[in-house]
Amino acid sequence: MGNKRKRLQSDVDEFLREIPDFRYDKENRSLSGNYLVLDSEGKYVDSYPLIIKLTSDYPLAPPEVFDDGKNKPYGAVRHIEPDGKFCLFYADESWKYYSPDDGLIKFLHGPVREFLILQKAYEIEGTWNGPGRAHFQDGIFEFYNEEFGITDPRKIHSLMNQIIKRKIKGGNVCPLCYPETRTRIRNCHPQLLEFQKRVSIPLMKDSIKKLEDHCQKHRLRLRF
Amino acid sequence: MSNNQLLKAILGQQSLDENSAEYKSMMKQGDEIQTLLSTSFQDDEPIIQFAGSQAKGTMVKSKYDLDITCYFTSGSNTAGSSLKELFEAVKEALSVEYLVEVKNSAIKIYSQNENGYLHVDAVPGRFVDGKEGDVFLHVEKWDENRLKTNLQTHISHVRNSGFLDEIKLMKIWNTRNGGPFKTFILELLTIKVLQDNSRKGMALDENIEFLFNELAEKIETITVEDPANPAGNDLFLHFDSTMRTNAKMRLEETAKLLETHDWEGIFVPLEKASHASIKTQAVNSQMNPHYYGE
Repeated sequence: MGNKRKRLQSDVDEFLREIPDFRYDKENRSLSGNYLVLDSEGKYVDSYPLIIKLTSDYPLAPPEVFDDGKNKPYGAVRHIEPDGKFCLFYADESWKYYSPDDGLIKFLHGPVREFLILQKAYEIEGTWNGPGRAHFQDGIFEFYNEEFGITDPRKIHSLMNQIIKRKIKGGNVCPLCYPETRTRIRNCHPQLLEFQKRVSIPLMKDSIKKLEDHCQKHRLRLRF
Repeated sequence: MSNNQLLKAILGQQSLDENSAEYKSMMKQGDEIQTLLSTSFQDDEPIIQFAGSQAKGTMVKSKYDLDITCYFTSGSNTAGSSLKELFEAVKEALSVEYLVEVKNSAIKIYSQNENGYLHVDAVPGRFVDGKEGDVFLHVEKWDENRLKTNLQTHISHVRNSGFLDEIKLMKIWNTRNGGPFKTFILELLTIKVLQDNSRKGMALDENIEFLFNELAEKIETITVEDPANPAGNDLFLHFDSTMRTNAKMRLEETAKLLETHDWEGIFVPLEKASHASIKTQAVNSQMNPHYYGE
Protein backbone atom coordinates (compact mmCIF):
# COMPACT_ATOMS: atom_id res chain seq x y z
CA MET A 1 0.00 0.00 0.00
CA GLY A 2 2.86 2.30 0.91
CA ASN A 3 4.52 1.73 -2.45
CA LYS A 4 1.27 2.46 -4.25
CA ARG A 5 0.91 5.75 -2.39
CA LYS A 6 4.53 6.69 -3.07
CA ARG A 7 4.10 5.88 -6.74
CA LEU A 8 0.94 8.01 -6.91
CA GLN A 9 2.68 10.95 -5.25
CA SER A 10 5.73 10.62 -7.47
CA ASP A 11 3.58 10.52 -10.63
CA VAL A 12 1.53 13.52 -9.51
CA ASP A 13 4.72 15.47 -8.67
CA GLU A 14 6.18 14.66 -12.07
CA PHE A 15 2.95 15.72 -13.74
CA LEU A 16 2.85 19.06 -11.94
CA ARG A 17 6.50 19.74 -12.68
CA GLU A 18 5.82 19.21 -16.36
CA ILE A 19 2.44 20.95 -16.41
CA PRO A 20 2.20 23.37 -13.48
CA ASP A 21 -0.98 24.77 -15.05
CA PHE A 22 -2.93 21.85 -13.49
CA ARG A 23 -4.05 21.60 -9.86
CA TYR A 24 -4.16 18.45 -7.72
CA ASP A 25 -7.07 17.75 -5.39
CA LYS A 26 -5.64 15.27 -2.90
CA GLU A 27 -8.98 14.39 -1.33
CA ASN A 28 -10.56 13.40 -4.64
CA ARG A 29 -7.29 12.13 -6.14
CA SER A 30 -7.85 14.23 -9.22
CA LEU A 31 -5.88 16.61 -11.39
CA SER A 32 -7.73 19.37 -13.20
CA GLY A 33 -6.76 22.04 -15.66
CA ASN A 34 -6.66 23.08 -19.27
CA TYR A 35 -4.72 20.76 -21.52
CA LEU A 36 -3.20 22.33 -24.58
CA VAL A 37 -3.33 19.76 -27.36
CA LEU A 38 -0.60 19.71 -29.99
CA ASP A 39 -0.53 17.38 -32.95
CA SER A 40 2.34 15.04 -33.81
CA GLU A 41 4.21 17.92 -35.47
CA GLY A 42 3.84 20.16 -32.43
CA LYS A 43 1.15 22.32 -34.04
CA TYR A 44 -1.67 23.68 -31.91
CA VAL A 45 -4.98 21.80 -32.14
CA ASP A 46 -7.08 23.15 -29.24
CA SER A 47 -7.25 23.50 -25.48
CA TYR A 48 -9.50 21.23 -23.37
CA PRO A 49 -10.51 21.51 -19.71
CA LEU A 50 -9.92 18.07 -18.15
CA ILE A 51 -10.31 16.24 -14.87
CA ILE A 52 -8.00 13.25 -14.48
CA LYS A 53 -9.14 10.92 -11.69
CA LEU A 54 -6.72 8.45 -10.20
CA THR A 55 -8.79 5.46 -9.13
CA SER A 56 -7.87 3.29 -6.16
CA ASP A 57 -6.49 0.77 -8.67
CA TYR A 58 -4.00 3.25 -10.13
CA PRO A 59 -1.42 2.53 -11.55
CA LEU A 60 -2.68 -1.00 -12.33
CA ALA A 61 -5.70 0.55 -14.02
CA PRO A 62 -5.34 3.73 -16.06
CA PRO A 63 -6.70 7.02 -14.74
CA GLU A 64 -10.22 8.03 -15.71
CA VAL A 65 -10.39 11.20 -17.76
CA PHE A 66 -13.41 13.50 -17.77
CA ASP A 67 -14.33 16.45 -19.89
CA ASP A 68 -14.88 19.55 -17.79
CA GLY A 69 -17.65 21.02 -19.88
CA LYS A 70 -16.23 21.79 -23.29
CA ASN A 71 -17.34 18.73 -25.25
CA LYS A 72 -21.05 18.93 -24.46
CA PRO A 73 -23.34 17.46 -25.60
CA TYR A 74 -21.78 14.13 -24.69
CA GLY A 75 -22.92 10.88 -26.20
CA ALA A 76 -22.10 7.63 -27.91
CA VAL A 77 -21.29 9.29 -31.20
CA ARG A 78 -18.22 11.00 -29.75
CA HIS A 79 -17.42 8.27 -27.26
CA ILE A 80 -18.04 10.34 -24.14
CA GLU A 81 -20.24 8.97 -21.36
CA PRO A 82 -23.12 11.03 -19.94
CA ASP A 83 -20.97 12.10 -16.93
CA GLY A 84 -18.26 13.39 -19.29
CA LYS A 85 -15.96 10.35 -18.96
CA PHE A 86 -13.85 9.66 -22.02
CA CYS A 87 -14.24 6.14 -23.44
CA LEU A 88 -10.59 6.02 -24.43
CA PHE A 89 -10.47 2.29 -25.19
CA TYR A 90 -12.16 -0.99 -24.42
CA ALA A 91 -11.08 -2.15 -20.97
CA ASP A 92 -9.60 -5.50 -22.01
CA GLU A 93 -7.36 -3.94 -24.63
CA SER A 94 -6.18 -1.07 -22.44
CA TRP A 95 -2.69 -2.65 -22.47
CA LYS A 96 -2.34 -1.55 -26.08
CA TYR A 97 -2.48 2.08 -24.95
CA TYR A 98 -1.47 2.09 -21.30
CA SER A 99 1.08 0.36 -19.14
CA PRO A 100 1.27 0.70 -15.34
CA ASP A 101 4.90 1.78 -15.85
CA ASP A 102 3.93 4.72 -18.05
CA GLY A 103 3.17 7.45 -15.52
CA LEU A 104 0.65 10.23 -15.97
CA ILE A 105 2.53 12.43 -18.43
CA LYS A 106 2.98 9.65 -20.96
CA PHE A 107 -0.69 8.74 -20.58
CA LEU A 108 -1.78 12.34 -21.12
CA HIS A 109 0.47 13.01 -24.12
CA GLY A 110 -0.35 9.58 -25.56
CA PRO A 111 -3.90 8.18 -25.63
CA VAL A 112 -5.60 11.22 -24.08
CA ARG A 113 -4.03 13.61 -26.60
CA GLU A 114 -4.94 11.30 -29.49
CA PHE A 115 -8.50 11.01 -28.22
CA LEU A 116 -8.79 14.81 -28.09
CA ILE A 117 -7.58 15.07 -31.69
CA LEU A 118 -10.47 12.73 -32.57
CA GLN A 119 -12.80 15.08 -30.68
CA LYS A 120 -11.47 18.05 -32.60
CA ALA A 121 -11.98 16.24 -35.90
CA TYR A 122 -15.56 15.53 -34.83
CA GLU A 123 -16.11 19.21 -34.01
CA ILE A 124 -14.82 20.18 -37.46
CA GLU A 125 -16.71 17.58 -39.46
CA GLY A 126 -19.83 17.08 -37.37
CA THR A 127 -19.50 13.33 -37.83
CA TRP A 128 -17.20 10.68 -36.38
CA ASN A 129 -14.77 9.53 -39.04
CA GLY A 130 -12.12 8.25 -36.69
CA PRO A 131 -11.72 4.67 -35.53
CA GLY A 132 -13.83 3.20 -32.75
CA ARG A 133 -15.22 -0.05 -31.43
CA ALA A 134 -18.90 -0.86 -31.78
CA HIS A 135 -20.84 0.60 -28.85
CA PHE A 136 -21.93 -1.25 -25.73
CA GLN A 137 -21.52 -5.07 -25.56
CA ASP A 138 -20.98 -5.28 -29.33
CA GLY A 139 -17.55 -3.77 -28.77
CA ILE A 140 -16.71 -6.59 -26.36
CA PHE A 141 -17.69 -9.25 -28.89
CA GLU A 142 -15.86 -7.36 -31.63
CA PHE A 143 -12.65 -7.34 -29.62
CA TYR A 144 -12.73 -11.01 -28.64
CA ASN A 145 -13.61 -12.00 -32.19
CA GLU A 146 -10.71 -9.96 -33.61
CA GLU A 147 -8.24 -11.09 -31.00
CA PHE A 148 -9.17 -14.79 -30.51
CA GLY A 149 -11.87 -15.55 -33.06
CA ILE A 150 -14.63 -16.14 -30.48
CA THR A 151 -18.08 -14.57 -30.20
CA ASP A 152 -19.77 -17.06 -27.88
CA PRO A 153 -20.44 -15.12 -24.64
CA ARG A 154 -19.95 -18.33 -22.62
CA LYS A 155 -16.40 -18.73 -23.93
CA ILE A 156 -15.60 -15.07 -23.43
CA HIS A 157 -16.98 -15.23 -19.89
CA SER A 158 -15.03 -18.38 -19.11
CA LEU A 159 -11.81 -16.86 -20.46
CA MET A 160 -12.28 -13.66 -18.44
CA ASN A 161 -12.94 -15.57 -15.24
CA GLN A 162 -9.89 -17.75 -15.67
CA ILE A 163 -7.75 -14.70 -16.30
CA ILE A 164 -8.82 -12.81 -13.18
CA LYS A 165 -8.17 -15.98 -11.18
CA ARG A 166 -4.78 -16.29 -12.93
CA LYS A 167 -5.71 -19.77 -14.16
CA ILE A 168 -4.37 -19.42 -17.68
CA LYS A 169 -1.52 -21.93 -17.66
CA GLY A 170 -0.02 -23.85 -20.55
CA GLY A 171 -1.17 -27.24 -19.26
CA ASN A 172 -4.78 -26.22 -18.61
CA VAL A 173 -7.72 -26.89 -20.92
CA CYS A 174 -8.16 -24.01 -23.32
CA PRO A 175 -11.33 -21.99 -22.58
CA LEU A 176 -11.51 -20.98 -26.24
CA CYS A 177 -11.62 -24.58 -27.48
CA TYR A 178 -13.79 -26.05 -24.71
CA PRO A 179 -16.27 -27.82 -24.91
CA GLU A 180 -15.58 -28.90 -28.51
CA THR A 181 -12.14 -30.20 -27.56
CA ARG A 182 -10.09 -30.39 -24.38
CA THR A 183 -6.87 -29.14 -25.96
CA ARG A 184 -4.17 -27.73 -23.68
CA ILE A 185 -3.62 -23.98 -23.96
CA ARG A 186 0.03 -24.40 -24.92
CA ASN A 187 -0.99 -26.49 -27.93
CA CYS A 188 -3.71 -24.25 -29.38
CA HIS A 189 -3.79 -20.66 -27.99
CA PRO A 190 -0.44 -19.96 -26.27
CA GLN A 191 -1.03 -16.22 -26.85
CA LEU A 192 -3.48 -16.38 -23.93
CA LEU A 193 -0.51 -16.61 -21.56
CA GLU A 194 0.74 -13.23 -22.78
CA PHE A 195 -2.78 -11.78 -22.75
CA GLN A 196 -3.16 -12.74 -19.08
CA LYS A 197 0.07 -10.93 -18.25
CA ARG A 198 -0.90 -7.74 -20.00
CA VAL A 199 -4.57 -7.30 -19.18
CA SER A 200 -5.67 -5.04 -16.35
CA ILE A 201 -7.41 -7.24 -13.78
CA PRO A 202 -9.47 -4.42 -12.19
CA LEU A 203 -10.74 -3.40 -15.63
CA MET A 204 -11.49 -6.98 -16.62
CA LYS A 205 -13.62 -7.43 -13.50
CA ASP A 206 -15.68 -4.49 -14.71
CA SER A 207 -15.80 -6.04 -18.15
CA ILE A 208 -17.15 -9.32 -16.71
CA LYS A 209 -19.91 -7.41 -14.95
CA LYS A 210 -20.93 -5.71 -18.17
CA LEU A 211 -21.03 -9.01 -20.01
CA GLU A 212 -23.06 -10.65 -17.21
CA ASP A 213 -25.54 -7.76 -17.16
CA HIS A 214 -25.96 -8.01 -20.91
CA CYS A 215 -26.50 -11.77 -20.82
CA GLN A 216 -28.95 -11.54 -17.93
CA LYS A 217 -30.93 -8.87 -19.75
CA HIS A 218 -31.14 -10.98 -22.88
CA ARG A 219 -31.56 -14.28 -21.00
CA LEU A 220 -28.37 -15.72 -22.41
CA ARG A 221 -26.75 -18.62 -20.53
CA LEU A 222 -23.20 -18.16 -19.39
CA ARG A 223 -22.57 -21.82 -18.50
CA PHE A 224 -22.13 -24.71 -20.86
CA MET B 1 -4.83 29.26 -18.15
CA SER B 2 -2.26 27.09 -19.88
CA ASN B 3 0.68 29.49 -19.69
CA ASN B 4 3.41 26.89 -19.26
CA GLN B 5 2.05 24.61 -21.93
CA LEU B 6 1.76 27.53 -24.32
CA LEU B 7 5.35 28.61 -23.67
CA LYS B 8 6.59 25.05 -24.06
CA ALA B 9 4.61 24.68 -27.28
CA ILE B 10 6.25 27.87 -28.60
CA LEU B 11 9.65 26.48 -27.61
CA GLY B 12 8.84 23.17 -29.28
CA GLN B 13 7.93 24.90 -32.51
CA GLN B 14 11.01 27.12 -32.33
CA SER B 15 13.49 24.38 -31.63
CA LEU B 16 15.69 23.15 -34.44
CA ASP B 17 15.23 19.40 -34.59
CA GLU B 18 18.53 17.57 -35.03
CA ASN B 19 16.87 15.26 -37.55
CA SER B 20 15.48 18.10 -39.66
CA ALA B 21 16.86 18.80 -43.13
CA GLU B 22 17.54 22.40 -42.04
CA TYR B 23 19.73 21.32 -39.12
CA LYS B 24 21.57 18.67 -41.12
CA SER B 25 22.27 21.15 -43.91
CA MET B 26 23.64 23.66 -41.39
CA MET B 27 25.90 21.09 -39.76
CA LYS B 28 27.14 19.90 -43.14
CA GLN B 29 28.21 23.45 -43.96
CA GLY B 30 29.84 23.73 -40.56
CA ASP B 31 31.77 20.54 -41.21
CA GLU B 32 32.94 21.89 -44.57
CA ILE B 33 34.26 25.05 -42.93
CA GLN B 34 36.00 23.01 -40.23
CA THR B 35 37.62 20.84 -42.91
CA LEU B 36 38.78 23.92 -44.83
CA LEU B 37 40.40 25.34 -41.68
CA SER B 38 42.09 22.12 -40.64
CA THR B 39 43.43 21.59 -44.18
CA SER B 40 44.68 25.17 -44.36
CA PHE B 41 46.52 24.90 -41.05
CA GLN B 42 47.71 21.31 -41.14
CA ASP B 43 51.09 22.15 -39.63
CA ASP B 44 49.61 24.04 -36.66
CA GLU B 45 46.87 21.50 -35.86
CA PRO B 46 44.54 24.07 -34.30
CA ILE B 47 41.64 22.90 -32.12
CA ILE B 48 38.55 23.55 -34.22
CA GLN B 49 35.11 23.09 -32.70
CA PHE B 50 31.52 24.29 -32.65
CA ALA B 51 30.69 26.93 -30.07
CA GLY B 52 27.79 29.37 -29.60
CA SER B 53 24.16 28.30 -29.30
CA GLN B 54 24.82 24.93 -30.93
CA ALA B 55 27.23 23.98 -28.16
CA LYS B 56 25.22 25.67 -25.43
CA GLY B 57 21.91 24.04 -26.39
CA THR B 58 20.13 27.38 -26.88
CA MET B 59 19.56 27.39 -30.63
CA VAL B 60 16.18 28.72 -31.78
CA LYS B 61 14.69 28.75 -35.26
CA SER B 62 13.72 32.42 -35.31
CA LYS B 63 17.36 33.42 -35.62
CA TYR B 64 20.42 31.26 -35.53
CA ASP B 65 23.92 31.10 -36.80
CA LEU B 66 26.84 28.79 -36.29
CA ASP B 67 29.98 29.59 -34.32
CA ILE B 68 33.24 27.82 -34.96
CA THR B 69 36.32 28.42 -32.90
CA CYS B 70 39.80 27.88 -34.33
CA TYR B 71 42.26 27.98 -31.46
CA PHE B 72 45.99 27.60 -32.00
CA THR B 73 48.27 26.12 -29.36
CA SER B 74 50.32 28.57 -27.33
CA GLY B 75 53.66 27.62 -28.92
CA SER B 76 52.48 27.52 -32.53
CA ASN B 77 53.74 30.38 -34.70
CA THR B 78 53.52 29.00 -38.24
CA ALA B 79 50.24 30.70 -39.07
CA GLY B 80 51.29 33.93 -37.41
CA SER B 81 53.20 35.12 -34.38
CA SER B 82 50.82 37.84 -33.22
CA LEU B 83 47.09 37.47 -32.60
CA LYS B 84 46.41 39.90 -35.44
CA GLU B 85 48.48 37.78 -37.83
CA LEU B 86 46.57 34.67 -36.78
CA PHE B 87 43.29 36.48 -37.33
CA GLU B 88 44.40 37.59 -40.80
CA ALA B 89 45.63 34.09 -41.69
CA VAL B 90 42.27 32.54 -40.80
CA LYS B 91 40.47 35.25 -42.74
CA GLU B 92 42.67 34.57 -45.79
CA ALA B 93 42.05 30.82 -45.59
CA LEU B 94 38.28 31.29 -45.44
CA SER B 95 38.26 33.90 -48.24
CA VAL B 96 39.38 31.21 -50.69
CA GLU B 97 35.96 29.57 -50.51
CA TYR B 98 33.61 32.09 -48.91
CA LEU B 99 32.53 35.67 -48.79
CA VAL B 100 33.76 36.98 -45.42
CA GLU B 101 33.41 40.09 -43.29
CA VAL B 102 35.50 41.13 -40.31
CA LYS B 103 33.68 41.58 -37.02
CA ASN B 104 35.09 42.59 -33.65
CA SER B 105 36.73 39.30 -32.75
CA ALA B 106 35.24 36.99 -35.36
CA ILE B 107 35.17 36.51 -39.09
CA LYS B 108 31.65 36.33 -40.43
CA ILE B 109 31.22 33.81 -43.23
CA TYR B 110 28.30 34.01 -45.63
CA SER B 111 27.61 30.46 -46.66
CA GLN B 112 24.75 29.72 -49.02
CA ASN B 113 22.53 26.66 -48.85
CA GLU B 114 19.00 25.73 -49.97
CA ASN B 115 17.52 27.68 -47.03
CA GLY B 116 19.32 30.90 -47.99
CA TYR B 117 22.44 32.32 -46.40
CA LEU B 118 23.72 30.73 -43.23
CA HIS B 119 25.82 33.02 -41.09
CA VAL B 120 28.82 31.35 -39.58
CA ASP B 121 31.18 33.14 -37.21
CA ALA B 122 34.71 31.82 -37.15
CA VAL B 123 36.62 32.91 -34.05
CA PRO B 124 40.42 32.56 -34.23
CA GLY B 125 42.43 32.59 -31.00
CA ARG B 126 45.48 31.25 -29.22
CA PHE B 127 45.55 29.24 -26.01
CA VAL B 128 47.25 31.03 -23.15
CA ASP B 129 48.96 27.80 -22.15
CA GLY B 130 49.22 24.57 -24.16
CA LYS B 131 46.13 23.50 -26.06
CA GLU B 132 43.26 23.90 -23.63
CA GLY B 133 41.76 26.35 -21.14
CA ASP B 134 41.94 30.13 -21.46
CA VAL B 135 42.50 31.74 -24.84
CA PHE B 136 43.47 35.15 -26.14
CA LEU B 137 41.33 36.55 -28.95
CA HIS B 138 42.26 39.34 -31.29
CA VAL B 139 39.88 42.27 -30.95
CA GLU B 140 39.64 44.50 -33.97
CA LYS B 141 38.14 47.63 -32.48
CA TRP B 142 39.45 47.80 -28.94
CA ASP B 143 42.41 49.79 -27.75
CA GLU B 144 43.83 46.82 -25.93
CA ASN B 145 43.52 44.62 -29.05
CA ARG B 146 43.19 41.35 -27.16
CA LEU B 147 40.67 39.64 -24.95
CA LYS B 148 41.20 36.74 -22.58
CA THR B 149 38.35 34.29 -22.42
CA ASN B 150 37.46 30.61 -22.07
CA LEU B 151 35.05 28.83 -24.38
CA GLN B 152 34.39 25.84 -22.11
CA THR B 153 33.58 28.13 -19.19
CA HIS B 154 31.05 30.00 -21.34
CA ILE B 155 29.45 26.80 -22.59
CA SER B 156 29.24 25.25 -19.12
CA HIS B 157 27.94 28.48 -17.59
CA VAL B 158 24.97 28.49 -19.95
CA ARG B 159 24.42 24.76 -20.50
CA ASN B 160 24.45 23.95 -16.79
CA SER B 161 22.54 27.02 -15.67
CA GLY B 162 19.20 25.18 -15.46
CA PHE B 163 17.54 28.02 -17.36
CA LEU B 164 17.88 26.92 -20.99
CA ASP B 165 14.16 27.29 -21.73
CA GLU B 166 14.13 30.80 -20.29
CA ILE B 167 17.22 31.72 -22.34
CA LYS B 168 15.68 30.38 -25.55
CA LEU B 169 12.46 32.31 -24.96
CA MET B 170 14.42 35.50 -24.27
CA LYS B 171 16.31 35.00 -27.51
CA ILE B 172 13.03 34.68 -29.40
CA TRP B 173 11.79 37.88 -27.71
CA ASN B 174 15.07 39.65 -28.52
CA THR B 175 14.78 38.79 -32.23
CA ARG B 176 11.16 39.89 -32.32
CA ASN B 177 12.12 43.21 -30.74
CA GLY B 178 14.92 44.05 -33.13
CA GLY B 179 17.74 42.71 -30.96
CA PRO B 180 18.15 45.27 -28.17
CA PHE B 181 20.54 42.83 -26.46
CA LYS B 182 23.61 41.08 -27.81
CA THR B 183 22.89 37.36 -27.41
CA PHE B 184 25.81 36.72 -25.05
CA ILE B 185 24.76 39.59 -22.76
CA LEU B 186 21.15 38.42 -22.78
CA GLU B 187 22.21 34.90 -21.77
CA LEU B 188 24.33 36.23 -18.92
CA LEU B 189 21.60 38.58 -17.70
CA THR B 190 18.96 35.85 -17.79
CA ILE B 191 21.13 33.50 -15.73
CA LYS B 192 22.21 36.22 -13.32
CA VAL B 193 18.70 37.50 -12.55
CA LEU B 194 17.22 34.01 -12.13
CA GLN B 195 20.17 32.60 -10.17
CA ASP B 196 20.45 35.57 -7.85
CA ASN B 197 16.79 35.14 -6.97
CA SER B 198 16.88 31.33 -6.56
CA ARG B 199 14.36 30.69 -9.32
CA LYS B 200 15.61 27.23 -10.28
CA GLY B 201 12.79 24.66 -10.55
CA MET B 202 10.07 27.30 -10.68
CA ALA B 203 7.41 27.35 -13.40
CA LEU B 204 8.57 28.68 -16.74
CA ASP B 205 5.84 31.32 -17.06
CA GLU B 206 6.53 32.64 -13.56
CA ASN B 207 10.25 32.85 -14.28
CA ILE B 208 9.70 34.68 -17.56
CA GLU B 209 7.34 37.15 -15.92
CA PHE B 210 9.81 37.69 -13.07
CA LEU B 211 12.65 38.15 -15.52
CA PHE B 212 10.89 40.79 -17.60
CA ASN B 213 9.83 42.73 -14.51
CA GLU B 214 13.30 42.61 -12.94
CA LEU B 215 15.06 43.60 -16.15
CA ALA B 216 12.63 46.45 -16.84
CA GLU B 217 13.25 47.79 -13.35
CA LYS B 218 17.02 47.33 -13.12
CA ILE B 219 18.28 47.38 -16.68
CA GLU B 220 19.95 50.77 -16.36
CA THR B 221 22.11 49.80 -13.42
CA ILE B 222 22.51 46.03 -13.53
CA THR B 223 26.09 44.78 -13.93
CA VAL B 224 27.14 41.78 -15.91
CA GLU B 225 30.40 39.86 -15.70
CA ASP B 226 32.09 37.55 -18.16
CA PRO B 227 32.15 34.18 -16.33
CA ALA B 228 35.45 33.32 -18.03
CA ASN B 229 37.15 36.47 -16.79
CA PRO B 230 34.95 38.22 -14.20
CA ALA B 231 37.42 40.92 -13.26
CA GLY B 232 39.21 41.31 -16.57
CA ASN B 233 36.75 41.79 -19.41
CA ASP B 234 34.73 44.93 -19.53
CA LEU B 235 31.41 43.97 -21.03
CA PHE B 236 30.23 47.54 -20.90
CA LEU B 237 31.19 47.93 -24.56
CA HIS B 238 28.68 45.22 -25.40
CA PHE B 239 26.02 46.81 -23.25
CA ASP B 240 26.41 50.57 -23.04
CA SER B 241 23.90 53.16 -21.88
CA THR B 242 22.33 53.64 -25.33
CA MET B 243 21.70 49.90 -25.55
CA ARG B 244 20.27 49.89 -22.02
CA THR B 245 17.87 52.73 -22.81
CA ASN B 246 16.67 50.96 -25.94
CA ALA B 247 16.28 47.68 -24.06
CA LYS B 248 14.34 49.41 -21.26
CA MET B 249 11.86 50.78 -23.79
CA ARG B 250 11.30 47.33 -25.27
CA LEU B 251 10.99 45.72 -21.84
CA GLU B 252 8.39 48.28 -20.77
CA GLU B 253 6.36 47.57 -23.91
CA THR B 254 6.50 43.89 -23.06
CA ALA B 255 5.36 44.56 -19.50
CA LYS B 256 2.02 45.76 -20.89
CA LEU B 257 1.52 42.48 -22.77
CA LEU B 258 2.46 40.58 -19.61
CA GLU B 259 -0.59 41.97 -17.82
CA THR B 260 -2.83 39.91 -20.10
CA HIS B 261 -0.37 37.03 -20.48
CA ASP B 262 -0.34 37.62 -24.20
CA TRP B 263 2.53 35.16 -24.70
CA GLU B 264 2.00 34.87 -28.43
CA GLY B 265 2.22 38.66 -28.65
CA ILE B 266 5.40 38.68 -26.58
CA PHE B 267 7.16 35.83 -28.33
CA VAL B 268 5.75 34.40 -31.52
CA PRO B 269 2.30 33.21 -32.62
CA LEU B 270 1.78 29.50 -32.18
CA GLU B 271 1.50 27.63 -35.45
CA LYS B 272 -1.94 26.03 -35.74
CA ALA B 273 -2.75 22.63 -37.23
CA SER B 274 -4.97 22.90 -40.30
CA HIS B 275 -8.43 21.33 -40.32
CA ALA B 276 -7.37 19.06 -43.17
CA SER B 277 -4.40 17.84 -41.14
CA ILE B 278 -6.54 17.21 -38.03
CA LYS B 279 -9.05 15.22 -40.10
CA THR B 280 -6.27 13.11 -41.63
CA GLN B 281 -4.76 12.46 -38.21
CA ALA B 282 -8.16 11.37 -36.89
CA VAL B 283 -8.71 8.94 -39.73
CA ASN B 284 -5.25 7.44 -39.26
CA SER B 285 -5.44 7.36 -35.46
CA GLN B 286 -4.37 4.17 -33.71
CA MET B 287 -6.94 4.73 -30.96
CA ASN B 288 -10.01 2.54 -30.68
CA PRO B 289 -12.46 4.22 -28.29
CA HIS B 290 -15.30 2.12 -26.91
CA TYR B 291 -18.52 3.66 -25.64
CA TYR B 292 -20.47 1.75 -23.02
CA GLY B 293 -22.62 4.49 -21.55
CA GLU B 294 -24.98 3.74 -18.71
